This record gives sequence, structure tokens and C-alpha cells, in this order.
Amino acid sequence: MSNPFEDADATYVVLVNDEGQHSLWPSFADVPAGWTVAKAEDTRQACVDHINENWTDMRPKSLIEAMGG
Amino acid sequence: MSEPKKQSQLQDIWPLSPLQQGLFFHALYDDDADVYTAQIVFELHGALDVDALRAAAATLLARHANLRTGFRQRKDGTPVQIVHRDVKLPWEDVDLSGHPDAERSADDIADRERARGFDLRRPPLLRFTLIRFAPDRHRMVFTNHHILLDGWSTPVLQTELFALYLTGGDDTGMPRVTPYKNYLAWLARQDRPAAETAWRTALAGVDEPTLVAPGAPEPDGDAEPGRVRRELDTALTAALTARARAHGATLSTLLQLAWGAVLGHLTGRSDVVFGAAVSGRPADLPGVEQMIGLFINTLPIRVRLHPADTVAQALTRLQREQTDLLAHHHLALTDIQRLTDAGTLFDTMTVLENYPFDPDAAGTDLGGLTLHPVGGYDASHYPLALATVPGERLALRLDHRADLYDEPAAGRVMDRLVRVLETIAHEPDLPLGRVDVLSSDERTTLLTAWQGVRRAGHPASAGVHEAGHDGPAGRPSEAEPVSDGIGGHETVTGRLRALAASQPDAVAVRVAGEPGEDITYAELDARANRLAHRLRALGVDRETRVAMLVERSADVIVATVAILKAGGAYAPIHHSYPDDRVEWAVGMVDAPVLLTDAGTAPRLEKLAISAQIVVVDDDPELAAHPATDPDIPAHPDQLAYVLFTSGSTGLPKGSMLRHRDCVDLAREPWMRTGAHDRVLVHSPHAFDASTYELWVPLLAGGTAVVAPPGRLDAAALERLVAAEDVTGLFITTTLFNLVAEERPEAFAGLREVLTGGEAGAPGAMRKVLAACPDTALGNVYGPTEATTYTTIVDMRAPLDDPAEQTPVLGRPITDMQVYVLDAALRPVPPGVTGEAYVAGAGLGRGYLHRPDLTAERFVANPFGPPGSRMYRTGDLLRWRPDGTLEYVDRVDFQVKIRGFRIELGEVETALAAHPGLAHAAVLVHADGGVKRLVAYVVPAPGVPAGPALTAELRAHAAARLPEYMVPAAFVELDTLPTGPTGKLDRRALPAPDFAALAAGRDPRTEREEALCRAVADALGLDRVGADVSFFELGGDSVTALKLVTRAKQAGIELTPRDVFTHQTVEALARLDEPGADGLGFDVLLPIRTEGTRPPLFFVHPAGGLAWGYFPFQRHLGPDQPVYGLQARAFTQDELPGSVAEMAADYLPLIREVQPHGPYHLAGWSLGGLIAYELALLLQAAGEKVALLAMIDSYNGLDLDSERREVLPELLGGLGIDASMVDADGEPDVPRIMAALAERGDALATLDADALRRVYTNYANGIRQAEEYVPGRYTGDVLFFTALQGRRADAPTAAANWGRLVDGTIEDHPVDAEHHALMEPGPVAAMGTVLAAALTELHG
Repeated sequence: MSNPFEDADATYVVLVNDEGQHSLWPSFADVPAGWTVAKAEDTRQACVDHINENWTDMRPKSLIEAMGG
Repeated sequence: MSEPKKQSQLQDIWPLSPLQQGLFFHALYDDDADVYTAQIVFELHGALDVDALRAAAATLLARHANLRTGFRQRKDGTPVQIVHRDVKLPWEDVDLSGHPDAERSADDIADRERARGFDLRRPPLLRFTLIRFAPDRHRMVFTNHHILLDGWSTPVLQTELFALYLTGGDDTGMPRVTPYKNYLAWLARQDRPAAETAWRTALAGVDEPTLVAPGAPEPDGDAEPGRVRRELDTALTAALTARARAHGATLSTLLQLAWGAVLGHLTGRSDVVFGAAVSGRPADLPGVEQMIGLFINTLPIRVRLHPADTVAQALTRLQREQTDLLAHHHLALTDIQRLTDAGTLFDTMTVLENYPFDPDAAGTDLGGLTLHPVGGYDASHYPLALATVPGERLALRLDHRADLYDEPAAGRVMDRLVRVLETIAHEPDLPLGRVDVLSSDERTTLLTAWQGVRRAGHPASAGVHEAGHDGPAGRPSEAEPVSDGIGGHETVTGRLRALAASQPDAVAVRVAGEPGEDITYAELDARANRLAHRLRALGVDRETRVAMLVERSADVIVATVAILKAGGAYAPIHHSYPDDRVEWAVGMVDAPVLLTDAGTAPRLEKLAISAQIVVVDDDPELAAHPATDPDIPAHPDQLAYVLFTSGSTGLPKGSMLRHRDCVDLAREPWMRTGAHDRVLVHSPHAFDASTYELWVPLLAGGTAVVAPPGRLDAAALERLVAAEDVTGLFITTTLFNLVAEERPEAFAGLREVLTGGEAGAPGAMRKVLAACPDTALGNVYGPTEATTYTTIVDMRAPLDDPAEQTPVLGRPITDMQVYVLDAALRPVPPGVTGEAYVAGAGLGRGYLHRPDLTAERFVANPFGPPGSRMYRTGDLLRWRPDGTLEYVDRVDFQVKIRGFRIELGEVETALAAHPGLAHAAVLVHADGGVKRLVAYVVPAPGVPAGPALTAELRAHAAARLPEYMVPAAFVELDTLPTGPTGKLDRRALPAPDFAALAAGRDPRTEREEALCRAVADALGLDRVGADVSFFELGGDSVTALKLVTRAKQAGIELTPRDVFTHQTVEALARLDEPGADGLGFDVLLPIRTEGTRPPLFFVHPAGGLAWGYFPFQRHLGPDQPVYGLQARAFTQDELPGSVAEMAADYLPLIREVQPHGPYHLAGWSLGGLIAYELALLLQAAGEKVALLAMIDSYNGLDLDSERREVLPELLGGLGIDASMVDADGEPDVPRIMAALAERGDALATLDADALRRVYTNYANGIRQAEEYVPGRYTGDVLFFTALQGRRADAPTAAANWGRLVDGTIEDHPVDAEHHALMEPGPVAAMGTVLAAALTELHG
């Protein structure tokens, strides 16, 4: 079974939630509630690169705040 | 040429069309004649001129030569159709007027006509039956063999019949009939290679069939399919027609797209194939529309469901693909299927029906007569077949095999189809991935009702976690339930602190066997505080990872708590990591400190590690630190631990889990029944089971009981459980199976044993359940990333059902969800395999320092609270209709060996780093229940292959990978096989050479022989040499325990230590003395000795070996012992004189295994004759023979004439493709040896001498088969007939044995040639029949 997250030829978006957590997301699918598009439709590699560049602290935002940054 | 006086009856001889050939072949071998019988029934209202109608029918026959053909085979086997000059009209008048139950009688007549069938040799293959109800009401029952005409011919036939009726049978004015012969000529003109190319292109990449009912039993010929009907309203029908037109598509294509979408959903695939019936009438054949005959074809329709394609795009694409194939519709389905790797491509069908009755033609006026359709019969045996009838309201009919789909299930499929049609009609721009197939009820069931109970107010139920803070003072969160008695703390440290205050003297940690070393909650707190201060001083702060390389002990638990108290997270490293990898791991987690113990510390001395090393059980500085709480605040979302899991890119990943996750697992209601209050700590600290072993007891005030170091065996386990009052423990599938086999009662003292990690074995579970009546057995499933356990199920109830063959996974635990989704992220219905996504409580943070991997695997959750995530497991699961989950497979190259998760890519990367290698691929092979890693390596140019390289690679891998990831075997190849797209074709990798590896020298003593068998058994191999190391063969510490058990069963006492120190059978046997001979060539060949049923004995075919029967055991179930009987030719020189002599020779061996009946005997070819003779001998001795199975065995045949067959058959018997060797009648030993060696399996161990013996034995056996004169047998016989390559004069089982057997001969045709009967396909077919027969005998 092909997986929608592993198709090198498909296009993806990058989603982010209120906690700053990122998700790769196939562009054909609806964006689930509570997530916003952080990077518009692009190749898988471009999306993965975006995630590596932008999600530098993997702690959820609320934890970062609770720990005083 | 002068006209003969009397015209010959024979008018013409035609070939058969490909479709006719298919039907002819099947009809020849199929007893269910009615499958090929079609029937049309219609009523005639009004005054009927019966004579005129009969005359019309006669003229019809006279006009259409192809309605007068009979079918025969030429002497060479080629089928031909013989056109008879004239035939008698088969016409019957039945008068039911005044009959009290005329309707039923008329139905009976139709049924009878259908059941009667046709003799293909005697034309015409059709019959008219006219039933009279009243002078103005008649019913016509027209029955024909399918080989004559198809459904599309029906309206033509009717139209012509009634046109002729109006003229009283005179066809003077009617247009000339285009003869069927013209169609056959047209066929001959077609460009077959072009058609093959077109189909090959169309089906490129289809390597698997699309089956809604894989493994379904053969259809019962008598069972009528169920039918679900639906009629679309005019608006939707019109909208669909308009939609098709708008995109240049036909309605047929649109319906195929819709069915493809439904089928994709039913199978969880995004590339589906199904059959479609097409008219097959070539547009460029003049007059074809008016022809009556067989043109219809079934063609595969492939629909690719790219989730991103819109409905409109998909429709356009499908139409284009179908148009490209139009010119190639003449190729027969069997020929098309031969072009693919998938074999049978589909098991569902669609047909757009514009027959049997044109609606406009109904009620046509025929001189006061009106026509009314009553029905027709055209059997379909597909699990699902969709028929659509166009009209103002599109009519849909779903025929379903009632044994596979009940009516509600078929109804649901129909509902989905209608929903998809609505979407296609109205939402052309919707991506296919968003087309909703399920109803809202179905969605609710899958997404809510079957999920874990939701704990009110739990953060996991509210999506994004609230910023709770759980500092030293402990801040009760408002939502926290108090049912577990220590509510109010969402962190590990907060809970432990509360427990130290509320139950300071309760025992938290107990060291098994050392009552004086108990650690109370207060002591745990104090000791952990000291170490925490020490860690703080070394730089550990909140979220800091502290590496651990330790053997399990009470000190390790204290140290683990200390790390958390210091604010850090523990990162345990597995002991089996090689030095390089330990260094890497410490650096990867940025650990400032590495905790170790006195036993491990020496190993670290030579490592290059910048972290400071603290020896937890020998740290002189510890005493200087205070026992007071360091008071470091903790947050529930803070990191608690990092576990390394195998990573596909070559290095492990660090899975991050939080305080909250440990707490959630500990308060899961399943864990709080009391059964998990005293838990045995015995798993490696670096294994995710430690989450359960530590935190489930400790966070609830229970006791963690630490087992002594080293691996536990079953006896030690039993002792520990009893001595320490352990209530619960977790054990990996591998160990569980071992204990179940050796000492199933070992768990009896427990309240619950949890097992999981791999697919469990129901047999082992049943053994434990029976031996431990008061112990619950929980099957657990879940990824490390979601805190170890996601689903749990009590296995007692499911396994009470003897038919249950799968360990189910049950349902998600509290606050957890498992979504089974298709490639478009839509939930799949029950029964359909999809990928599991886990959401809810326990879902960890992700992978340390790997935002990319985390974002790929922890993805947005469309089904949960806003902003929540779900983890993509890579596991293929399915829901059962009752809402329990079932494991199916892995989606990728992750495997589990002995409970360890292994990414094959990680092993491949490690191997590829060796300079001597060009390429490497790694696979898991499971033989006899033992899983091993096998590496396929291609040496770099100039690097010599051979044992030296293998040894070097093994050392290379061992230096870089944990022991459980080092391949058990290395196979050297010239190149790695690739598929059409250039990707590695894993399925084409040759079978691993364990047998060759295991070959070595034969055992020389009885003791060696017994030990060889024990080793082979433990490793799941056929045989092993006496001088080969157990560990070279993939043995490990677990299989070593298994070997000890097996040896003990054979009366030889060994310890696991013996196995480790002596390694080879030779050395192990020297611990004692002598006897003789070659394993594998014994007359009695134990194939499977386990099981409670009376054994099944397979007697060797002429070649003398019974090895070919090995594959049968897979199909016969674990409870069925199987033995082979082999010729003495391998152990002595003189050959047996007769079948009777062999039977008499083998009889005592059988009786030694099984002193009394009921006996089960089977044999292939000559083996069938010997089995038959054995049955006679046993019956003569007063024993019962319950099963006698003969596999294509015949008596009294002249086989000498078949001498050419000797070699192919002989090779077939060895599982070699006969075509590989010239069948010139003489054995070419070197060539056969080369062919054998190429196979690289057990047969490669045959030496030239053994092979010559096989040959002499064979030649001798053939003679004996000819000479054998069987006696009379009382009882039933199960017979298998090889269908392919049968000679025309070959006798049937009934003809050959009927006069000798007092009982029924049940003949099962097998679609294979005689010599290929031991191939996997035929074995599976026969195995199923045998299994069913044995089950019927012994339940």
C-alpha cells in the first residue's frame, strides 16, 4: 500500500499547530482543524527542508513558556 | 468436383475463438455444467401460433451455422467446432393450463433445463421449451450453452425469432447473416503482438491481484448469488450522463471509475483492477451487430486512484486509457493475465447490461402478441459483480456470493457506490482522496465507538496540552480523576514524591532473592535525591539527557528516578551496542553524564566518551550529597526518557517520551486491577517494556521486583514468580512462545501475563491459558513512540473459540485511538487492511534532533481534537466486524526479531560502509518459525567473493550494530535483482542458503544425529551438519534455550552454557558416544513430530525422497504430525523388488510411530500405490485406515512409453523446473547437479551419489508401478488429478480405481502437470483439501 507521506512525486504542505509542532501533509487532503499552512504546496524535499530550518526547538510552545524559554 | 449423392452431415470445420477455447477447456473438466448454461425466459401474451413459432426457431437454426456446431478435440488435442448441415430442432411443448401450481411447475421446468447441461459433441447446444399456461399466455424457456452465444446476442436472437414468427418461418426477405466464420477470420487477422504490447503497457506495475475475497473457497456451483438492487432517480441518472459527456467519457467508463473507487476502499489499494464484460464485437466487421454468437470478452480494467487527481481528471484519464485499448479487446483474458506477474488479476466484475431485453422492445406488437421478460440466468461466481442497466433511471445490481458477503454487507457496498456516484455527478473538482465512501454511521463506529474510552477532561482528549505545572508543591489539575488514590500529579517525580509521603514504608523496589535489600518509597526518594544532587552538580538540568549503560539492578531504578528528579531524562543504551555505537549514542543525546555500574564500567575505559562517567553502585562522592529533594520543577510535557529505535537511514532514532506518558500508562484502568502491583523487572532497561516494568508498579504505590541479571529461562521465571509473589509481568512473544512450549505452567502464579512485540502464536497462548487457569493473558500492541502499549486484549475469551487462528489486538486503551486509514487518509471499513495511526494519550514528543522525521511520522490528526497529532505506525492492521483490531503486516522494511525493532535500512547502511562492497540488501527470512536476517551482498569490483569476505563482513557488522542486528547469513551475488523501474526487487532475491550453510558433515553417531535434529529444530532448518557452529546458523541466546529443550526431549541433557561453549553438534556430542548414518535420507523422515492428531504418512514417489512433502506441513495446521517414508536406496544398495515389498518394509516403521489406527496415508505417483498397499496391509491387520489420499497415482498403466517423461518428472519431484534440463531420457548428472546447486536450498545438499540413487530408484519405481496389481480396498479414497499435460487417453480416477475400491473416490482436479504437483501452488490446493479432510476426522 502506498503511503500518502512517502510519495516522492507528490506535493505536500507544511502544517503547524498552536504548539509550534510541524507536520508534513499531503496537499490533496483537507487541512485538519487546529493546524495552519506554514509552507504552501511544494515538493516533499522542499517541505522537509522547511521543517528542518524552522522547527528548531521541538518542545511544545506551552512547555517552552512554562520553563521560562 | 462432383456433388456426392448423399450430403455429408459435416458441413464445415472451424477453429474456436479464444473465448470458446477457454469455455471448452473448463467445460471439459468442470462438473458444474450449469455454470456454462445460460437461459432466457420470456412470456408471450396474446394468441400464439405455436407452429409458426416453432418454424421460426427452425429457420433460426438453419440461418445461423454457428448455432449448429458441436465441439470435439482432434487427435492431437486441438479443439474444433464441427458445423452440422442440419440439426433437429430441440423443441418441447409443456401444457400447464389448468395446473394447480402452474407457476412453480414452470420454474421447475426452467431449473431442470438448466441442470440438464449439454453434451458439447452433440449439436445443437440449445433447447426451446414452450410452456402453455392458457391459450393466450405462454412462456418460452430458451436454454443454451454459453459457448454458442452471449448476452448481447439475445436481443438479436429475439428480434429475428419474432420477425420469422410473423412470416411463419420464411426468411426470404431477410438480410443475409454474417457468418460467425467471418468473425473467426477477423480474429486471425488481428495483430496479436500489438495487442499484447498494449495490454502489457496498460497493466505495467500491476504485480498483485485486486481481491476483495483473497483465499476465498471455490464457489459452490449450486449456490445462487445474492442480489442487491438499487435504482437511481432520474435527476442523478441525468447528472451522471451529463458528467460523462462533459469529460468526453462514456457512461461505462464513469461507472468503472466509481466501481474502482469503491473497490479501492474495499481493498485498501490505490491501484485496482477488476473485470469488465465487453461486447467484443469488432466495429470493423460488417454486420456484426446483427450476429448471434459468442463475442463477449472479460477484460481487466485498471483504475489508478491518485488521491490528488480530481474526479474530472481521473475520468478523463480512465477514458483515454480505455480508448487506447479498444482495438485490443480481442485478446483472451487468460492471455492478458499471462502478461502480468499477478496471475489472476481480480475477483470482481462489472458489466453494463443492455440485454437480455431492450426495454423499448418489451411489449412490441407481434400480430397481437406481446413479449414480457420474466428473467434469465447467467451464473456469476465472482464475490462481487456489478451490473448496470442504462435507462432513464440507471439500475444497479450487485451480485454477491452469499458465502462471502451477506445481504447487509453487500447493501453497504451498494450504498458506498451510490455515494461515490453522487460525488462524481456533482463534485468534478474534488480530489479523489476526499471522496467520502463511508456513511456517517460507519465513520462514527470506526472513529469513536471502537476507540479507547475517553477519560473526561484528560488533556489528550482536549488536543493541545494545557500548560499544567506540577512543581514541588504539586498542583492538582482540575480534571485529574482521583480514582487511583494518588491523583493530582501528572509527572513521575510528583507522583513518587507524593507516595514517599503517603506510604514511606511500603516496598518500592525488591531485589529478587535478597529480602534484606528491599527499598521503601522513602528510601527510594532519599537515595534518588542524593544522586540527583550529584547529577545537578555535573550539569544536569531540565530536559538534559543522561545516558545509561547498565545491567538491571535496584541501583538502576534509583538512578533512573534520580535523573528525573534532577530534571533530566534517561537515555538507556542497550548492552549489545558495539563500542562505536555506544560512543555515538552518548553524543547523540548530548549527555553530560553517562551512568554505568561496576560490572559494566571496565568496558567504558577504552571508549572515547567526553561525558563524565558515574558508577551508580560505586560512587564515592555520593555520600557528600544531601538526601533532600532538589526541588527541580517538572512539567507533564517534560521529557522523561529517550529510547533508541532502529532507523532506516543507518542510525538509530531517539524516541522522546514525556512524564505524562509514563503517568498515563500507569493509571490506565487495565493496569490498576491489582494484577500489575508487583511487577517483575526483567527486560533490558533500553527496551520499551521497561516503561511498564518500572512505572506501572511504582507510580501506583506497588513494587518493582528486580530479577537477577542475565536472561531468564522458564524454570527461573516460575521460581521467581512463586518466590516473590509477582502479580504481573511482560514477556516478548519470542520468550513467551519458548516458555509456553517448555513450561506453560510457569505463569500460573501470576494474575496477568502480558505478551507482545510480534505476532503471537495462538497455539502457544492456548497452552498457557490451559496450564494457568487463574492467570489472565493480555496481548499488547503498540509502538515505542506511543509509550509501549496502545491496545490490550484479554486472550482467554477470543481463544476459547477453537476456530480462532489469529491473536487479535483488541481495542485501544483509555484515551487512545487507532485509526486504520487508506492511502488518502480515510478510514477503511472493517475487513479492509489499512495503515494504523495512533493518537491520544501516550503519544510522545517525537524524535530527538530530528524535526524532519518527527513531522513525517507525527502528523496532523484530522479525527481528533483541533491541533492534535497522530503517529503513523507503518503497521498494517484491519478491523474485524466486531470492532477488534487484527495485525496484518508491516508497510515498510521494519522487522521485529526477538522483540527488537529493526529497520533493514540501518543494517544495509552499516554493511554498505564496508569498502569491499558495491551493494547490500537485507531481508528477513522466517523458516520454521525462526526469523533471521539475511544479507545479500555484491562485492566491489576486484574484491574476491568467498568465505573470507563473509567473515570480514560479519565482523564489520558486529562492530557497528547491536548483536540482534547482525545478519545470520551472507549471500554473495553478482548483482542485486531489480524490477522494471530499476528498484531493488526484494522478492527476486534468492532463498537464503541456510541449508548449504548448515550442510557440514553428516552426524556419525546416534547422539550426534539426535543433536543435529535438535539444532535443526531449534533453528527451523531441515538439517544441520555436525561440525557447523550453532551461532553461525543464526542461533542466539533465545534459540539456545530452545535447543536445550529439544535436546532434553531427545534424552540429552545440555545447559545453555554448553551450547555457548561447545557450539557444534560434534563438540556437544563429545560430552558422550557412537552409531550411524545420513540425516534426511532415513527411511522414516520426520517432517513434523509435534501435534496431538494421529500422524499423516506421505510415501515417497518413484525418486525415493519424501522431501517434496515438506511444504504440506504449512497447510495442515500445527496440530498435525507429518512423516515421510523414503526409499532404502539411500542407505543400502539393493533395490526393492515390488510395491508390496516396499509396503511391507515400511509398515513396521509406521507402526513404531503410531501403534494403532486410525491411520492417514498419502502418496504421490508411485507413493500413492505404496500407500494403497499399506492401507490394505493395515486393514488386513484389523486396523482402521481413516484417510487414504492418492496424488495422481494410477495402476496398470503402461509407463514404459513415457520414458521421455522420466527425467522431467524426476526433477519435478525434486522441485526443479524440468525445462531447465534437456529431457532426452538420460540423466545428465553434472547438469542436474548444477541446476540443484543453483537453487541454493536443501536440495543443493544432494551429492552426485545421492542423485544417482534417486535416478536408479526412479527407474526401478516406474517398473514396479507398472507391475503392481492392487487388491480390493474398502473405504473412501481422496484423489488428486493433475489436469495439465494430461494425455487424451489418460484414465480418470474413477475409471482406474473404481472397480477396486469399495467406497467413494473423491476426485479433486489440480491445475498443474503431474511432475509439478509439489510446487507451492498445487501443494496449497491439495493441502487445503487434506487439511479439511483431517479436520473433519479429528475436529
